[in-house]
Amino acid sequence: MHVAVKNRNGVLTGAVTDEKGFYAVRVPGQDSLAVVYSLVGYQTFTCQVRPMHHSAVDVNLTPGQTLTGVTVCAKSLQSGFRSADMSRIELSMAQLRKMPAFLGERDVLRVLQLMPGVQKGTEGQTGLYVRGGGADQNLIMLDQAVVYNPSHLFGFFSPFSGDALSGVTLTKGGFPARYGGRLSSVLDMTLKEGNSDRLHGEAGIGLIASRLTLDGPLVKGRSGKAAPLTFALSARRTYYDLLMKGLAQAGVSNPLPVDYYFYDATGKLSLTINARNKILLSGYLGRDRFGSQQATNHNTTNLTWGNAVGSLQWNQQISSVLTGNLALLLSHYRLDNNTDQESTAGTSDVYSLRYRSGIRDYSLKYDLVYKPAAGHLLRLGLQSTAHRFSPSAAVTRRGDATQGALAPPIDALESGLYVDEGWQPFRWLQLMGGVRLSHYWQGSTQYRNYEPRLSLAVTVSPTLSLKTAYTGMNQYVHMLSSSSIGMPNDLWVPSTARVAPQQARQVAVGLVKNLPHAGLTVTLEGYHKSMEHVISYREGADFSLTTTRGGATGTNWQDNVTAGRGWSYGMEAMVQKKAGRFSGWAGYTLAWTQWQFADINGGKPFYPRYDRRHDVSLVGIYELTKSITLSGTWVYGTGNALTMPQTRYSSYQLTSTDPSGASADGTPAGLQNYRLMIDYGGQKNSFRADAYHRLDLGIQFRQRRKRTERSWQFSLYNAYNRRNLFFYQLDVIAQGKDQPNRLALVRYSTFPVIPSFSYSMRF
Amino acid sequence: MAGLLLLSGCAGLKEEVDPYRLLGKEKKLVVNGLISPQDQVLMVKIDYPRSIVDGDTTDTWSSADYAEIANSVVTLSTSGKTVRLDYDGDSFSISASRLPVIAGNTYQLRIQTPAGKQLAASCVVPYAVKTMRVRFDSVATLQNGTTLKRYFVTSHWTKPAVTPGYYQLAGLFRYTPGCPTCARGAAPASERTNAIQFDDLDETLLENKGAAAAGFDSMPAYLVDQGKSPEQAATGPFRTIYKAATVSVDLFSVDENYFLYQSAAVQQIKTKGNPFAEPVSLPSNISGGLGCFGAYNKSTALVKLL
Repeated sequence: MHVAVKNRNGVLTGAVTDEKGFYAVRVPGQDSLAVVYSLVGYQTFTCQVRPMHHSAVDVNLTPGQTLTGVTVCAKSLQSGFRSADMSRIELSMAQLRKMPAFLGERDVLRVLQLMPGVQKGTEGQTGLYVRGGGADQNLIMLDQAVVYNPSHLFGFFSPFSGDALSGVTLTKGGFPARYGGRLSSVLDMTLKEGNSDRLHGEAGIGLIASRLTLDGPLVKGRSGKAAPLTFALSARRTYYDLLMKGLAQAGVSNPLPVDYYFYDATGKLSLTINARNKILLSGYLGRDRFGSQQATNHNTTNLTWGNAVGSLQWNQQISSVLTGNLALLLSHYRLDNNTDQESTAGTSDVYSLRYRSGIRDYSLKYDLVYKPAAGHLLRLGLQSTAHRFSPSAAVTRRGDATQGALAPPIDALESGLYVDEGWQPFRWLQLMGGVRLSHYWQGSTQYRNYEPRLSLAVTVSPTLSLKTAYTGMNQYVHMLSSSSIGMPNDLWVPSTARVAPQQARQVAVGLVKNLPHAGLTVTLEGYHKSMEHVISYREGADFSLTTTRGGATGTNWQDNVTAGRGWSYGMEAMVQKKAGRFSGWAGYTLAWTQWQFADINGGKPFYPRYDRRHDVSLVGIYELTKSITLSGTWVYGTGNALTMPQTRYSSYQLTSTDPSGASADGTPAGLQNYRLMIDYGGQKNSFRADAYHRLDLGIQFRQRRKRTERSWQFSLYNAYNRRNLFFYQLDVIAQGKDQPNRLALVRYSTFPVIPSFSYSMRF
Repeated sequence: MAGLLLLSGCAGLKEEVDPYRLLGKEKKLVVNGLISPQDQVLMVKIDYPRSIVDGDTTDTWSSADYAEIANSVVTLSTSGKTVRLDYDGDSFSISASRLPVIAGNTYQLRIQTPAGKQLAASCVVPYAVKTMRVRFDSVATLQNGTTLKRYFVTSHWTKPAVTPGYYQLAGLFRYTPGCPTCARGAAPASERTNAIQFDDLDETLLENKGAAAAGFDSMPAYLVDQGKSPEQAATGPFRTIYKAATVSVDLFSVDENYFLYQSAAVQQIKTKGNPFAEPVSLPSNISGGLGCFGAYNKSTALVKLL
């Protein structure tokens, strides 16, 4: 919320409230001041206060104000122009509602993928790859609690639909010291608090799921004051399994050999004890279950995964210049994957994967925000997290007697202490500097690191601002992902004596140029990021419980990994229009990412799978009338770097010859024994898949009544039916009766043009 | 995996592609060459790779492709001396007396095809290990409640100061089975030979980049009859089950090119067929081609056990 105060000369000074609603404004002494409270989408509220006396003013804005050009322009300046924050994206929930939906579902992570510097993984998936970082290098927080695997339906949806969220901020660089534990980005999401006025709700029906959101007061406020206790609940569930059960009861067989559902739910309780103290209790619970059994082969899959996170926070206003927040956080992620798969399609040689991945965190966190004077903002705090990792993976071959035992859990303690100062010495200069000290303890191994953070912004002219930032980051948790399995296979593992924490150093420079007459904001940023101790499965890693000679072996994830380094650099450009009937943005990223591991690719650098040279996104939203909105997005990205089997060839090895002498013709030992090897192009990830591009279109109709608003949205995903690559696979092709099967390389695509429809009603 | 993809099952979303059209690359030649001071013949094999979708016995290369190989010019050179290898219908070779292979020397291989392809590689011949000790031993093992013995040999050697320290071990177990229950005058069993392996595949390749005088102890290589697995225990005392037994251990000092190539090849073989394993890329020191041109120097220890 924006708070503005006019001084005697009529000059407006003000502030923005923090995420807890606290703010501080220093004004000259006078008897009475007019304070103006405003927020986009709400009616502006003005009240008179007497600054010479201590008093608390609770303000509840009424929703419903139509945006004006002036309001949006002010927001634009506040949100990023003068601030030392850079590489930061604030997602508008209002904009999210108007964008084309995928299968009727609007998704926060999908929209973030449309931003420069943020890349998606495989077609349709919601994983984020920020500035060359891996999917595990994003700190994803929901009300400060970490969410480890934000995905539904193999990553095609994220748990964050937007209905339950009040704020979403993604930071790609220039990280404030209060954030730590990941190298590449921070996605900070805040759950919506319940309305203190009356009960509100939203119900929606989409192509694959239905959802319901309710919020309102639990206890009414006295004497016209805001309700002290409010709630917000949101839930969503898919239909597919229920539909199939219904069809089965009607005697119709399941057309697809799969059984699938997911659900998720969020809730938040907000208790205002008094003007200075507030308690917030929130949580998220989500679960996916997938089962597949194919009648024509031996391939079966049974997997479940889900997250549970919880947050208990106590907001305190200790004094007029000091606020605090104490938080107890819980995060639990678990994946169980039991998959049997044929060695080669069409054979009875079957491998079984038994995969368990779990991580559970308990965290205690305390943050203080001190605003001693105008132009100063000091933050300090500490956090300690007790991790428990349960990584276990084993592969057995059908017929082998060896059974894998689950690995014991691994406990670790990660702590961080930070101080961060925001200082505006001159009107044209804003600085933000800080340091984060981190400590990690696992078994008898300890790591201590410091992370310097510095960013500054120089306002060159009323419409031009230059920015730069340097950050050092450490990451003590790692995620291992197999490139050979096309299903959820993330194994969260800790830093240990053998596996060092990941580290990154990032430098970013940029400019923000406002073009007020055109209503445009142009952002241009360049960055260079170096990463050390990133880990990956080594070549040939397999988790087999049996050796090639049939003997039994144990599996330890540490034996299957190798550590290396990576570097990424690039340029991001965005032109954004927030105001007017037509809004949207155009984004372009030019980037290079390379990794280098001593034990992969012969020690030579290679492009990781999601290295993407060019990434373009165009987003447009057009308010045709007050009740009709048109929207469209177009994306283009360089194809993924893949390791493809390209050819096979004969290779020879040394073998013993009879000690009585070499063979009669003198044939050397080295060329006596040959075997057929697979060539993957000589280099890891040396094959570039086809470029990806797609157009989505949407149209939304809204009908507002006295107490309700209804909306219908029609969307067209992949409007021109581009067959984007999903993966390549060697398949066995039947050639007819009495003909031998043949092997073929098959290119699989997914998601052709998909029309979808959703309906929602707000009250 | 396909089972996961609800929509990819649709016929329109599956498309068979020609691997060579997809990969869009020229046909690379495969070169295999290993030279050694023990060679009587220096041999280099050149071949075309097969398509990834070919069967094991069929390939898609034309007679013109093979004609190109047959008419290639293949030369080996060292210390200013160059010899041309002759094609015999299968490989290119020349008598080792025309170009002696000497430890410590660098050898260059050059290939020029009629179509203009040029390939090149080089390797340094390692020094042989002068002394190697082979130890014969046994270990007790419990099988079905009975204590049995497994017999094995291990090798020990010291790295020569001037070589990088890459090795491969291989061996042969030559034995004549004993037959305590056979009647007198029965025909004696014939001598048999079985290859021995020093533990699992990758343990036969050893590397030491450390101190020059560092010693190596190999993993055990179990002595078993033909057709038996190394995990199987012997059925009685060694002197009873064998009438005669000899072990020969070959210690190949190999160059780095071969070591890196073969290490990757072993990894690829270990995970062959496992759909959950990470792919393994094969490195190559052939400029413009695939395969490996390397060198080795062999030391052999012959131990008569019975």
